[in-house]
Amino acid sequence: MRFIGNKIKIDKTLNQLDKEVLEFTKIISRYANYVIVSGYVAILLGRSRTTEDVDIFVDIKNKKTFENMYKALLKKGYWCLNAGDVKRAYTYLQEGISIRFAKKNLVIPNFEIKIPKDKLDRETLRNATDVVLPKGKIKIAPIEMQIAFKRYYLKSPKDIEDAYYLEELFKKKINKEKILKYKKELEGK
Amino acid sequence: MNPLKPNLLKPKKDPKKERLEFVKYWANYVKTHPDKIWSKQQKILIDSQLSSTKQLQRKSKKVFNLLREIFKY
Repeated sequence: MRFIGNKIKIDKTLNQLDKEVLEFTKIISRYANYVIVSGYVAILLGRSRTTEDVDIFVDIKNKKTFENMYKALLKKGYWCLNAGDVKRAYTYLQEGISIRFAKKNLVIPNFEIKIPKDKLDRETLRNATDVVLPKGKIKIAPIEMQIAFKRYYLKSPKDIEDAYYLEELFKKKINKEKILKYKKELEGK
Repeated sequence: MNPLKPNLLKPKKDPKKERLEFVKYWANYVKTHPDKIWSKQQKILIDSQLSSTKQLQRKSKKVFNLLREIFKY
């Protein structure tokens, strides 16, 4: 695993979850900018656990773009778990409710899409880190943001472990001041 | 980490501390081993869990469809 500027290069043997995330993000990236946040970030970077959902911020510019993305996902064999049609799905997103997609006949793993709703979410999207894999690229939230979010906002035992893992993994590379800055911003969320 | 003389995991009495000690140990393992080495182990864990979950979901759907057929609803 190597840090090259704002990129992390990992020459890993891809697991099934990595492959599914690459496939899903390849589709949505044709329509909008995205960033993966929360649990899967730690897993992508080596954490020895799995997850039932992958959280993604997607910067959807307008209804038409979303409709095209929705149709493309359906065409590629996905279904939306919590909205029966594209109109309802778009309304949910606008109301700040996330929508979930999974492969047909399956529920897990699923991709939880939400639109950025505040300054911090938009900053996460803008400052995404590229993780370069042998078969593609995945955009993730900045490591410092992940640590702050898990350690000071989510705070479940699993999240504390994820934060601890990322701190240990990137010990000399992370900016501790940035973590504290994010912590303050999260306290106001 | 020298593969011929691996660092040993420090035992802890408190299960919570023991968990964190393992997380730290694994992070250090990932840092000090080639990506292919740690990711193969991660793949075994994730693929097996996903595979059994998917099988279970497909089986549940089959059972559901069968019940619907029997009870005509």
